[in-house]
Amino acid sequence: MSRSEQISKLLKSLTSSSADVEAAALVDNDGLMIASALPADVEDDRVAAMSAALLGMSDRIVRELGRGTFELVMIRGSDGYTILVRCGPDAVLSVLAARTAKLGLIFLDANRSAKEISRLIM
Amino acid sequence: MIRGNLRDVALSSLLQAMHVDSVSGYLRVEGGGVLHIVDGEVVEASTAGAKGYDAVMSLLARRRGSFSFERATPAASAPLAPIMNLLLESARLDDEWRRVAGYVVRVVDETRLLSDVPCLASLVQWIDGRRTIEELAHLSGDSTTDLVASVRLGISRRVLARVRSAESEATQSESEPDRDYDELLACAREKIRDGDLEGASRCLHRALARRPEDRIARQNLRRVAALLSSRPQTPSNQRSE
Repeated sequence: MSRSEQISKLLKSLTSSSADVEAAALVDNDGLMIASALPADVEDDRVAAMSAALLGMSDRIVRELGRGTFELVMIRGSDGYTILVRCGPDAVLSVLAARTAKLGLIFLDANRSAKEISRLIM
Repeated sequence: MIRGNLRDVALSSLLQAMHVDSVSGYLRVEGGGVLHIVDGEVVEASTAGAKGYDAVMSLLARRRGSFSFERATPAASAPLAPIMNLLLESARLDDEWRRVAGYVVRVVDETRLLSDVPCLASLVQWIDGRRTIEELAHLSGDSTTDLVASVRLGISRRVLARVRSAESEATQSESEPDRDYDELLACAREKIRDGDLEGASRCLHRALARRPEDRIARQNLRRVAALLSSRPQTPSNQRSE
């Protein structure tokens, strides 16, 4: 199985682990999608662009405010959550979750997936 | 009125510049056709043999000929497709053409040729098992996109078959080794980090040629196109034949 197929498999496993995880994607610092488990009606460009923008902003905030290195950011909207988890120095795992999601489980699954993906892409 | 030659500046570069500046007018290619542009978007196109989207693809495939652009206000209409989509599809067809232009095909089943693949009717008199696809294009006058589609259909219906000669196989083995799809995507990402957007674009086109429907490669290519279009235009950025 190629590396991209392994990563895609991990992302599909993440989205199917819970009905509350609606989409997942691995995006690099430049806004390029590396792998994805996105529904057909979700725009790849939008997810990649927003993930890269949020990563850049979060990285800067953490550094400027002396909080070490960026690890995770979560945004809560009225219709759900957007969670970004660092995956090595060059990529970030984006997870879109429903409003009803149990965040503890989502964070656990997302972090586990991010660790495995980091091993694959390093 | 702006005039020039497609040898000096590609039609795709012109369309990108017009899109950035949101200009309106008629972009004519001598002996080719005309594109109607409204606020930087292509809203209509026509050639001798096609209209609309197909005419745009046919014109974007041209590498020679003079062009002229006249500012005007064509009838407003919905864009045929977003500019970037038009350019990416044209680039993909370009890549595909470069790959197949040297193929030689022969007729396998004459009895089914015209009934199963009527679009080959204009080519059948020239297909002799020795002429390349490029030679067939010159003889038939078909657009390269139509020709590639017809030949692919003929091969898939087992009416045509590709001729693999010892000479063509030797040429293939000397050419760049077939790179793994993952490697091509990784190569593209590395080139983007190094600032080589054109190189990244080439890697992604090769990846898409292997997997034309792949979502990741398409998104990456759109991203590179967006980065390229936001880069200031210099003479070295313009594509030349």
